[in-house]
This record gives sequence, C-alpha cells and structure tokens, in this order.
Amino acid sequence: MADIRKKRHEIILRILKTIAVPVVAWLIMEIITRTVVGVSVIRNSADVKTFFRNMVSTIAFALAISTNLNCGRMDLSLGAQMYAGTILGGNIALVLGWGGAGMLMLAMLIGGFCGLLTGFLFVNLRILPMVLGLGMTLIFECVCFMVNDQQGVIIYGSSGFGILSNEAFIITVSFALILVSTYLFQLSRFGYRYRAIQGNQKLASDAGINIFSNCVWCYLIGGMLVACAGVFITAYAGSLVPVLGMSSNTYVFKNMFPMIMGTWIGGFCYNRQIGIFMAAVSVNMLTLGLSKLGLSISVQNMIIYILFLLFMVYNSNKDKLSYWKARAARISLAERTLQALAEKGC
Amino acid sequence: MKKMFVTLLSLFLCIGLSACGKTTQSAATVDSLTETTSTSTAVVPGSTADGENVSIQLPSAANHKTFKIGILETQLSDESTIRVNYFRDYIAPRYNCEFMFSEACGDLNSVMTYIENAADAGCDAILCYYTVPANTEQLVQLCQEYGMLFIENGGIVPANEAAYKGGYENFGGGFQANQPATGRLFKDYLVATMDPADEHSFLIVSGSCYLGNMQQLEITTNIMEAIAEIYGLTYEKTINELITSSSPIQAVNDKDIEIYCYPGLPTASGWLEGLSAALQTGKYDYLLIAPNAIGNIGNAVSEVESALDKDITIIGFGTFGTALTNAFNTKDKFGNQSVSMSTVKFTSLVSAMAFSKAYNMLTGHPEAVLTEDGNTNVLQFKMESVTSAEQLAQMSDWDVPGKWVADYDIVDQMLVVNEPGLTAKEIQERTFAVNYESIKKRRSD
Amino acid sequence: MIRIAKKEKQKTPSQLGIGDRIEIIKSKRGFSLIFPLSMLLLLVTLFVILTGGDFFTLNVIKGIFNQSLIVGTMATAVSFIYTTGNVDISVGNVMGLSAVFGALSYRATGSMVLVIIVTLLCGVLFMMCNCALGIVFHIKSAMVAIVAMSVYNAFTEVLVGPDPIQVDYRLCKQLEGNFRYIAFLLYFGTCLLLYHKTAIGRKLRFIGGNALCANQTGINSAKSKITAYLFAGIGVGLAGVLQLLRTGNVAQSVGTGMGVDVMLATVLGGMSIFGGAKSNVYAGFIGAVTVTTLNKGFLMVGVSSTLIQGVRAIIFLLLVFMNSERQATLPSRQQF
Repeated sequence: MADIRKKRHEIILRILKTIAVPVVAWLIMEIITRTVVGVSVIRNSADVKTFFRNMVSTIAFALAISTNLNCGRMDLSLGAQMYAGTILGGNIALVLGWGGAGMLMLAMLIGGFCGLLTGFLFVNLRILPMVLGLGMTLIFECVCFMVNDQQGVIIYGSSGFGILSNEAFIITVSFALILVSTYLFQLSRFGYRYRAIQGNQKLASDAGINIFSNCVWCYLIGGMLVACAGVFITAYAGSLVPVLGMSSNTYVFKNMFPMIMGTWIGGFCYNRQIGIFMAAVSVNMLTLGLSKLGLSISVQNMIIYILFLLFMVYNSNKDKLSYWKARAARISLAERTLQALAEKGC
Repeated sequence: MKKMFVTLLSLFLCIGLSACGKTTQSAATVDSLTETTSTSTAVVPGSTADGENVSIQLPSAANHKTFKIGILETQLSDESTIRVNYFRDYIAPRYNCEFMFSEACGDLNSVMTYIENAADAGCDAILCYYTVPANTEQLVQLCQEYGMLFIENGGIVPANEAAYKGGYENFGGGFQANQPATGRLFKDYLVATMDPADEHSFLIVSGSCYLGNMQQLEITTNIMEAIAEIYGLTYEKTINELITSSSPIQAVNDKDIEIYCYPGLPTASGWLEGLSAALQTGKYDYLLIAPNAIGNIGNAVSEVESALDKDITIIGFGTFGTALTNAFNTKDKFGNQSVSMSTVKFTSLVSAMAFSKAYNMLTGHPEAVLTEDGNTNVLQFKMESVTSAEQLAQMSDWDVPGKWVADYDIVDQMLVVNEPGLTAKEIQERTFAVNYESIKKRRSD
Repeated sequence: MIRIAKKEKQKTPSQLGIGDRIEIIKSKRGFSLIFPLSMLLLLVTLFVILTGGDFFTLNVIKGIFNQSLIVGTMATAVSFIYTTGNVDISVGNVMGLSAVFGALSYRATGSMVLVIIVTLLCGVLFMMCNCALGIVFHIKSAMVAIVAMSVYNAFTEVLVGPDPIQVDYRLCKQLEGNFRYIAFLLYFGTCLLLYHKTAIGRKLRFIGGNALCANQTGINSAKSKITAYLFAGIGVGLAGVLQLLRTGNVAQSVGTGMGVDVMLATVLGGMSIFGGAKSNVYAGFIGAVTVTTLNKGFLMVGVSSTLIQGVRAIIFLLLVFMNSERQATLPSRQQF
C-alpha cells in the first residue's frame, strides 16, 4: 500500500515537473506583459491561432532536429528541406486544388523525399553530417528559388487553406505528431534500434543493427517533420518566399532551444516527445509575450538566446549541482555524527 | 618532402605562366569607348511583341563593340528575375550588349568583390542596385580604378553628395522613384478616403529603414510627410529619427495623432507576432507598409480584424505578382479588399532608365547624365497606384516578357545616338511621360 | 557463440583493387596538401579553357588572392579550434563586432594604429568569451557558437545603426597594399610554425584525435583549448582589420554568415572539422582560394546567378567526398 502511494506520489511529482516549465513561463510573461503594457499574453482569437500555429511548427521542427542530433548528426539542411517541401508541396496543392490538408500531405511527402535524399547521400558518401548539411542546404535553396518565378508559395487568398489556422486541426496534428513519434521512437523496433545506435554506433552495428537504414529513416522522418512545420509557418504569414545564401539555417538555430529544453523536460516524464511539446509551449509563450512588449527584434532574439545560454549552463552542470548538494549533505551528516559521538564521549 | 617540393614548383609555374598570359584587359575608359557614329544602320534579328523574328533597324551606333554591363543585385527575387529577362532577352540582342548578373550582394565586401570580378570579366559598366549612400563615392572610385562606369539605384542625399558633385567622369548618377510624386499617391488616397476630422490612427511598417534600405526610407518618409501634410502636424523628432529606429516607436506630434512606426524584416522571427500585437491594441485603423510585405501580413491582419471586429485599411508598396493579386482579390470580414491601395512600379521602365544612362555614356554622350549645372543627375520615374483588383489585373498584363512597358520605342527615345543633342532634362520628361494613362492608351491603340 | 575475427591476409600489389590503391594514396603524408592544391589547379585550368584564357591573367590571380584574404585568415585562425574537435561558427559575427569596435575607436580617436590594436584585442576577447563558456560551464562549443552568433549580431546592430561607421577610406587604401600582405603572411607563417613544428600543434591534434587519451597522457585539455581560442582570436581580429582596410567602413551586416563560409573553406581545403591527427592549418586558406576561384570562374564563364549556388554546392560535395576518409561506420559527434 505504501509502495502504491509512493508510486502515485512519484507520478504526480513527475507530471507536475513536466508541466511546471510552460506554466511558469506563462506566469512570468503574463506578469511582465500586464505590468509593462497592461495586456495579457493571449488576448483574443488572433493570439490563440498564432500561438497554436507557432507551437505546432516548433514541435515539428524540434522533433526533426532531435531525430538526428541525438545520434550525433547535426543536420543543418533541415531549414532548406522545410522550404523545399513547403514550396513544392504548396504549389502542387494549389494547382490541384487540394487545400490546406492536401498541402500538408504533399509537403510532408516532398520534405520526406528531401530528407531521404540527404540521408542516402550521407550513408553513401560518409561526409560529416554538418558539412553535408551545408552542401544540401545550398542545393535545396537553389531548387526552391527556381520554382514559381521565385515567388515561393502564396496561399493567402486561396480557398481551402483556412483549416491550417483552425485550432482543432492544429491540436489534432500536434497530438498526431507526438503519438506517432512516441510510438516510433519509444515503442517500436525502429525506436529500439535507434536508441541502441544513440548509445554506441559501433556496438549497435556489431550487434547486427543496420545503422545505415536506420540513419536514412531518421533523415526521412526529419524531412517530413520540418515540412509539416513549414506548412504552419506559411499558414501564418500567408506565403513563404525562397531564400539563398544559407539563410534557411536560422530556423535550425532558432529551434535548438525548444529541442534541448524538450529533451530535459522529457527526462521527467520519460518521453522526449512530450518534453518537446512542453518546451514548444514554453518557448512560444516567451516569444509571444516578448512580442507584446514593443522591443526590437534583435533585443527579443538576444533575450531568448541569453535564456538559452543560461539553460545550457544549468543543463550542462546539473549533475555537478546534485553532486555538490549530495556532498554538502554528506558533510553535514558527518559533522552531526561527529558532534553526537563527541557528546557521548566517544 | 619531394612531393611537396614538386607541388610548390607547379604552383610557382602556374603563377609564372599567368604573367605570360593575356595582358590585363582594363575595361575601356569612357573616352576610349567613344565610337564614331556612322550614318549607316546595322540590322540584326530581333523580335516583336508577337514573337516573330524580324529585322529591326538598330540605333546608328550599334556597330560598336559589344558592351558588357554588370548588374549588381542586392537580393535575388522575382523582381530581379524580371530584370534578367528584360536585359538579357530584350535589350541585349538589339543594342549589342551583354549583361552579367551577380548573386545577392548584401554587404559592401561582396559588392566590391563583384565589381572586381566584373572588371576581370571585361565589364564596361556597373548598374548597382545596392544603395548605401555613404558608400557611393567609394564605389565610384573603385570603378574608376578599373575603368568602368558606375550607375546606382538611388538619389542624392548629403552622404553621397560628394560623388554627384565630384565631377567623376565614370559616374552616371542614379535612378529612383520621384519622391514627391510617391508621397502624393499616398496623400491623395488618404485624403480621398478618410476625413481628417474623424479620429484615425496609423501604424507604419518601416521595414528595413533602420538598416538603411533606400527604397523603404523614401516610401516611409513619403508616408510620414503625407500624414503630416493632411493633418498639418509637426513631429517632435525628425522623420529620419523616427523611421530609422530599430525598435517600435511612437511618432509623437503636436496634434496627438496616434502614429506608430514598426521596423524589422518581415521574414525575421517574431516580427509578424509583434505587428499583430500592435494591431491588437485596437488603436490603429490604417496600416501603411513600406517594404514589399503585403503578401506576408494579409493573413495576420485579417485575423486581427476578425478578433477585434475592426476594419483596418492597408496601403502599401507592392510588386506585380501573385501576392499582390491575391491581396486585392481577397475580401476581408467587412467585404472590403484586404489591400486598399498599393504603389507599384514597372520594372522594365526602371531597368530601361538605368540602361539608357549606361548606354549613353558608353556611346560617348556623358552630357546625357549631367544636370544643367554640370553635376551628375538622378533620373526619376513615377510610381503608379493601384486601387482595385480590376486595375491590377489590367496593369499586371502590361509589363511582361514580349510586351514590356519600356519597349524599344521608349528605350530609343532615351538614347542620344538616335537623337543627337538629347539632354538629360528631355530624357527625364520622356520617362515621366510613361505613366498609367499613356500606357493604357498605347495598349488600346 | 563467440566469433573470432579472421586475420586479414595482407594483399600483394597485384591483388590490390582500385579502391585499395586509392586508400593507399589517401593515407600518404602529403595527400592533405597535394589533393586540394591539385583540385585548385584543375579548377583554374578548367576556367582558363572555358574563358578562352581570360581567367589566367595576373590581375585575376591577384584578385583571387586578395578576395580570399579575409575568409582565409579566419579559416586559418579557426583551424586551431577545429583541430581540438570543437566547432565554432560564430567567428564571422566575432569578426564583425571586432571591426565595429575598431571603427568606433577610429571615430573617437582618428588613429589607425589604435583601430588595429582595438580590433585585434576585441577578436581575442570575444573568442575567449566563447572559450570560457565552454571551459567553465562545460557547454559544447557548437551550442555556444549558436548563442554567440545571435548575441554578437544584436550588439552589432545596436552599435552601428542605420548608417555605416566610416573609417578614412584613403588611409585604408594606403595600408591595404603592403600592410595586409605582410600582416597575413606573418600570421600565417606563425600559425604554420606553431601548429606543425611545436608542441602546441601536436597537443591540439592529440586532443582532437582522442581527448581522453590526451588527458591521460598529461595534456591539459582546458589549457590547450584556451591556447587554441587565443590564436583563433588573434586571427579573427586580424580578419576584422583586413575587413576594415578593404571596405573602409562597417555596416550592420558585417560578418553575417561568414562563419559558415569559413567552415566550407576549411572543409574544401581538405581538413575535417572534427579535428584529429590529420588536421592542418593551411587547409582553410587553400579552401578560401578555391571558393573564390569558383565564384570568379562561374561569373566569368556566365553561369546563371540563380544556379551558381547549386553548382558550387555540387562541386563542394564532390571535392569533400573525394578528400574524405570513408569510415566503416557513419561519422557522428555529440554536439550538445
């Protein structure tokens, strides 16, 4: 009975720890925005839509980054894959008249293909992932630029794309992403192999796991996820214009924070995907709150990245913190023991 | 060791051979490019608007050497692609020119690199769309070193006055939109559609004014001046201070009109959220946009209109394309066009103006780029305003490959070789004559 | 069941396949220098043929060298960092911010000597900040770089404003001539000496190859990392000086994106960004010259401006593939 109570207590604690960060983020931003400008972080339906769209695109992108980064592959071409999937998929959807859902499907298909191509090249060429990522970024950006007279994809004013701003649809997509990726990476054989490779690639290979096919699948999944993110980014802006000169990398850097924070939060609930969901909510709450304050974009970015840095400092040293805490507790116990013995005359 | 030695020797061999290679082809100076014009005309194949290949009577000096002109782009976009099509496929064959297009040159280092590369490639002139006035004189001097002409997309401001009045023989001046005329477009529309006696407030998207983007600086200045003129108000700070702020700023004025300047790149993270947040205060019923961002914000604005049940009038700058067409064809919650007015320009006309400056100088007529007092001039064009989807549909069809607004007739009228004695003032009058009404008349004839 | 790996029989020369022969060539000591230089010569020859000889003039060769100086200096600097297995893509922003402080010092004092000193010092200072975050707080250098890029960029925007900060362009032109060549050659020569002929370089390569082994041998990783960042900071500061001398001013966009260009140049020059024993300090400069050659060549040949990026990427990947070691497993490195 005590065991059950203890387990229940632990579960509740874990749930509380998991939701603590987004709740605290919301609280802090709410206090700041109300104090400084006298408004809430989320005031009306426009803010709700904005929040949900940004949340789902952050979840998708952060999941995509973590898919490869956890195995030691930093894929810088994800931003360009997002552009490629969204622009090509979006234009095909416009031509076929398939609307928002069709655009999502086609974008993920094309994004997956871009990821597959990158993964295939990586596995065969064995070039360092960062380097290959840079090369593929240049290629994908170039391809996007040549489509549709350099206009990218424009969905504003086209019918059938309102669904991409529908809160119920967005929540459905978010949960689908989390459920599918939880199953894939936690419960399936693919996930089992993935975690084995994450631990030690050589050992996993010697144990009979096909590290190459697993890697290609990871790239494919990453490509699909970023394309999904791109669709919702386009839904907010109404268009997505192609870029050159590796400018698409900014999306990768921007989503590192929710990804790393998500991995940390995921440690509380033993589910990285839920952790990323919570982190996406937290970071977007922060971004939305900062946008209310009337600060310049560079100051907002500076604040976010400094918070990222502080989080990294904590994340990289939390083991030391608990070590120092435990050490202090041991010293304190030893001192108390010595004192007690001294009083007893030993 | 031996292999390293061999490698180094091979390298030195190559360097040595390079000294024996072709002698530096310094691009021809302005003087040496002067060709004696012949009275006879050369004929080369060209194409009409119908796409048929016919022989066309060329300008009388077209039997000159092929002029090579470098086009320096600050960013690659649909507008730059239109320019490529226009220069490469339309202008080049007829006027015996060759064009060399740059990648996106967003900073001075890459601009200088392109100019050096263009010189090595044998370019005679540079048409520069990178405009930072503080750097104009430096770039003119750099081109002078390489014997190339330099023409920029910009106008005279204190920072670049030295270049325009410095008597640089290789400097062909600038080309830009006529500011007062652009301001009048905004003012006329505002006056026609709103009653100054009613309470109105304005959110002005200044875009990359804080980065020194000349076009957006001009447009935003025009907007601020237009509002000031309508209300007879005076700003507490200068317009330049307000629009070049990198943070959002209230344009405090003596009439207490709410005017909020919102800077930032439309593609930057958090920009759209910030704009939406500002609109959600419910204070602003006019949204005036300087950057070409109508396609980026339409959705966000319509969501705010729905949330607040408030009609927001959007006026801005746009380019012909799907984004602007969709914006005009989309109705907001109140049944109005989501964009009420947009200023547009004809890319071929602007390109033709730039080309005419270069061509006139290359064919030995530098006087065509000088003002009456002998300084280098700025050739201007007038932007047009679009207020309805029908008008936009009509105008979108005007400036396309095969039927450019600045066709051979227009271009020929700007070239001194066709009309000896043609002055800069006359060229200016002819570019101003290309407007909505005149084009409409030409198209219907 | 325990499987005992069979000892591979050594192949005789006649039994060697093409793949084996290529591997033997790649394992030769001078390969890391010869291959990128050969590729560079090949590219030059190709462009000479395609341009009908216009590419092979003294002006063009000189122009390539001049245009490669800034990225080449930064790539030389950053090779110290890459050698230790760390990755820093914020060097462009560091260079930019250093140049901004240099320009501000000129505005305040009018002294070019002070500009050079301030820019160099700022380069060292900002790189040491990056280093400190990694050493003191144990954050991976890639993550530090991502944060640093944004923070330094924000500072640059705030300090510069809408108008560029001017330095006397005429004075810059005068100094540009000999000073920059001397400065670059001095720095390059010093780096070459330190890296390849002293214990400093050996230690860095050892750490990059196997940090645990290096530590257990008695090499202090933290001290070596500090040394690496110090030399990198000097180089980045010098690149800032060269930037100022070339352009005569600094704008908000100075240095943006150069960190990635430096990485590309380093990799193209034949060095792995994961460092190790086969690292070298000259790869960056060779790579920078190669990139500049490609850019110039494409322009002169007339490759469409929209396609240049794609074509360059394909050539880049091809060259990197030919120069890289094919591992049995997939290359990976934990970055956070």
